[in-house]
Amino acid sequence: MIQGAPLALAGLLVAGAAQPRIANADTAPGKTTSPPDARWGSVSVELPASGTLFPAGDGAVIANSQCLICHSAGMVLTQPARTQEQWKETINKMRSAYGAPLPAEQVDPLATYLSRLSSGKAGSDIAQSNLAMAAQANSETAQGAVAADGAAIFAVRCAACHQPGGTGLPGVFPPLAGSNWVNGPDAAAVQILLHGVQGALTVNGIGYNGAMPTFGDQLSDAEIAKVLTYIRGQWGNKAGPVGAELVSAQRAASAAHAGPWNGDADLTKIK
Amino acid sequence: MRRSSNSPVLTRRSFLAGAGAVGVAGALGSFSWPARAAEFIELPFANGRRGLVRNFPQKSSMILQRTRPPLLETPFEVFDRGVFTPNDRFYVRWHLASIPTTIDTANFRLSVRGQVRQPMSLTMHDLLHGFEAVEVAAVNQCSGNSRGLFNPRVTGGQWDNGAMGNALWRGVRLKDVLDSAGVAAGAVQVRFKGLDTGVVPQTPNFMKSLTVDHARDGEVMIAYEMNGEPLPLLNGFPLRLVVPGWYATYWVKMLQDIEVLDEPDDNYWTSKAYLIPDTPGADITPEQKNVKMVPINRMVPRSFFTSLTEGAAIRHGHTLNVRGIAFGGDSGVVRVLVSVDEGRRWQDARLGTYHGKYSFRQWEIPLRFATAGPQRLMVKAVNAAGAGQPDRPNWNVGGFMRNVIESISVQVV
Repeated sequence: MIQGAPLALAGLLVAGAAQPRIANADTAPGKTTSPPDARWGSVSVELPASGTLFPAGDGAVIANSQCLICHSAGMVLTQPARTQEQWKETINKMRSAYGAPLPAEQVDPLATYLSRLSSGKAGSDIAQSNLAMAAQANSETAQGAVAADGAAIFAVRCAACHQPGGTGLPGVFPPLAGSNWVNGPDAAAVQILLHGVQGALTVNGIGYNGAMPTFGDQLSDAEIAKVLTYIRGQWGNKAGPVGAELVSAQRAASAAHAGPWNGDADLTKIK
Repeated sequence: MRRSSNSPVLTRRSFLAGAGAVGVAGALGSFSWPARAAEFIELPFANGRRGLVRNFPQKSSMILQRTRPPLLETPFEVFDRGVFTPNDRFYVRWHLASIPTTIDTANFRLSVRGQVRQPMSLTMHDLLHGFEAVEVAAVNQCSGNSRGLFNPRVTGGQWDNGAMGNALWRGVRLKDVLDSAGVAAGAVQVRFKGLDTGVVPQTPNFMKSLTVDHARDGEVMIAYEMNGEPLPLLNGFPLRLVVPGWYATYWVKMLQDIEVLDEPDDNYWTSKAYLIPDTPGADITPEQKNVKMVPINRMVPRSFFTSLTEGAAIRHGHTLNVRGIAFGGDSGVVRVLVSVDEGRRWQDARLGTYHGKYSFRQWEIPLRFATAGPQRLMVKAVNAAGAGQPDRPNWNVGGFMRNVIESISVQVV
């Protein structure tokens, strides 16, 4: 009853006829320095940020300040109903397998919050959040923009928490626009990027208690200089540019320091 | 263009001229988010409302599952338009949020290292001209495609059936690259890593491994082209591993590092994530405990209706050509069968052009109903190895490998 003769048609990998198949001597693997073919030239895009917050409720601040570091809220808000125990399992997996900086004492309250969210009570909130997400997404045009280096790094590394306009999220992620830290000593700004921050941090008189990831091992000195120069000149900020030499010097000077800076306690000492 | 500030963006509303499940929200501007119409779609499970978005680079309208890192689903009507899924509608799934958005191919290098005689650092030019170019039409399907349809529900990306796509991939054989480096005796696995990283340094890099024999089977490919174009960045520009017949978790995007290992890979993503029960169809009961788990691997056959949607009205006494797509998983689809009597009798559908055993294949069948009333249609595929689709859905905690016989209800009028 089997139709056709599929087994006779198994030759699925076909040699390309349109392109030269055999390299000549000076294009042998590993030897060429010629530029790549034009169609595979540089590509630069911008990815949209999400402005969606977790709906209000006990634990929302934890969700907003912790979960959104690594991922936007959309997939969390569309999970099926789950118990507090099930959410605890997920949150602990985020901590142990993925290294989420969420403190142990926040696991229970966050699990309780998420289980209430997903149990259906918050159905309309979630629907609204999803629509907000779509509206937000549609409002951001990302097609094919070629951004300057600092802006591109900002978009990938910073905008998810600090928001595309540098406004931060009230009570959750501090603003960069008008921030006393951004516009303060350049060495402190460099140290914040190099090592990250944990613990109480006051920004423009308002207290925050979240976690800023460390970027010292993810960004080069030149990249840190570019993104800081960008941030210090955007949204009304008028602080001067930061050079890669300063970042190198700061990196060397703090090489012995392990872990994030302890908020105000550490950072106010840096002049 | 970047969004210039967080102030409401006041632009002309873009209403979608669609029908059916697609609607328009935010019409009164009474919400706090930017006063802009949102298009959305209802996926067929609880809490299934999703935005339809057009703001991801090199993509047109996609179902938004998550913004960061992006999870974008292909709207199902795309699959009715042909067996190759257009690049701008091809689904997107990233695990880690630090995704390079600028790639300068002049400086890009693919490293081949580890248990090899001659480590290599290959340029795009090397790959485009230094190896024989090969092509394969192959389905790329997320391990968790259709997870939202699991019952009882399971956690993870709540996809409908659109976390899959079929493309004509062009690139070089992984075998040729590995042989050029010379795999050393004693090598057991080959590990692949892309350019993406986690936001916090503690997050393990996304890496997947294949056995040396699989990596050198001549079918696994390093692709630089997808449907005749360089890959969209979100689908892995400039290079992506193509593992025909295997789930997409192995198809590492933005491939930049190939490491030949002399012992089995124990990295998180290979040894602890993407595990399935070692049972037929990866099927267990929710109560079943202490099941042996193994890494997900080969795909299984699936078939779908594409020309009809759930609840469609069709006219009695008229012949209607009903069509869809099917794929065989790890071997070619050889039969597609349709039933209009709850699976008692099955009729062969006519199969469309054969694009190779790993590709979608279109199918079509003329159906005619004499009388009006509700009608259920079912479809199933059989592959060259004789594997079919189960009449009862599988279940596992990961929400992996769904391939139950598909059915839709229509109204004959």
